[in-house]
Amino acid sequence: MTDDYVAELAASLRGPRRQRKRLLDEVAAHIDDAVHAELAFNPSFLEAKRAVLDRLGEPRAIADRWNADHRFRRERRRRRLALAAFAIVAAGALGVTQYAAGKPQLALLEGATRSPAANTALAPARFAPAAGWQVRVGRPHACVGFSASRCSQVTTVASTTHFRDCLECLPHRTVAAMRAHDIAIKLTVTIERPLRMKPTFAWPPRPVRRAVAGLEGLPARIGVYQGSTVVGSRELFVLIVFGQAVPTDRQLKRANAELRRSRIG
Amino acid sequence: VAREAFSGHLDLLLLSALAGEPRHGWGVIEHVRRRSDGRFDYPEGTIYPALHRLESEGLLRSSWSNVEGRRRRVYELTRRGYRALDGRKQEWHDFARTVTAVIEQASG
Repeated sequence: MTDDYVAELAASLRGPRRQRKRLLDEVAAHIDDAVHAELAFNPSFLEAKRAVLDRLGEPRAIADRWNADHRFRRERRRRRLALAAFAIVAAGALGVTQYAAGKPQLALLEGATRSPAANTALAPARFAPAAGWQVRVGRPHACVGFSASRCSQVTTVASTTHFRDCLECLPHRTVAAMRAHDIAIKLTVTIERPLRMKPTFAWPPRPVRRAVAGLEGLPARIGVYQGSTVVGSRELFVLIVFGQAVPTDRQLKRANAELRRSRIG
Repeated sequence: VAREAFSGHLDLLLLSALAGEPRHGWGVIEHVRRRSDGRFDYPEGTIYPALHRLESEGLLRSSWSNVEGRRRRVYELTRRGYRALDGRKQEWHDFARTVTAVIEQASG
């Protein structure tokens, strides 16, 4: 029974072999410990094991959670590697260009990293809020872990309730105060050099009910739509938080209307 | 207590269970179940991906240990993990205070 369970889990897992093996070893050890404890209440070994596997949950559910985390980590690592590679190439290329032009290379590099706000190519998205919407506009800044010359971003938020969190954070405080019919739209514009992301949809996105799901870290009563695409040289990330897990037609229409009226800087 | 009620706060529960004492996965579940008077109702297996994710974020560290001939992966909070726990506890208290204020106003 244990072997079947672990085998089913193993068949559904994605990711590096060593990490998968570690997870499987941990789950097998968990079953051993739990069955050992369960036998104190349930003298039948088979029934004890069945009770433990019931509590452990479907192997598919564990694998789905694991695979989603793995995809996220892989994407994050890929982006970091791509940016690091670009930095090396760009530094070399800039050196050649500046040497040929006889300009001070170092001053240019310092200017780019010290002053992300000076990057005139990066401007926040602009909303044209309808009545009942509030807008907060952030400042351009370097992406976390990168210099501004490699990756800069700026976030704008439009919401039907006061947005209580930092613009880059998961909106815990806002969510806590959200009523069911409330909406918050976070729109982040990123300039990454080189541009690696591929367009996935034409701007603006048109969120529909089936694309709304829960988000790890937020209460289950909250519905979230997420999308990312490329417009010109800008990467766009949109996060729409609805005050209920299944948004109403009116909420979807209001969110869509705000996105249609938005302008990318 | 509904499973959904736990799912949004799993990270906070895991970090709290590991504050002050390293534990392996099953030990974490037992601790949470005991502290919740047995009301913790969550697919236990899904805490393992969560523990791995928290470790990859630098909030936990882990190592194998042998206890009574059994091999177990033991987790403990890092310094960053303790800071994250403080922040999330504060968020939770703010949230609980807000909801309580609304509920008491409605009933009073």
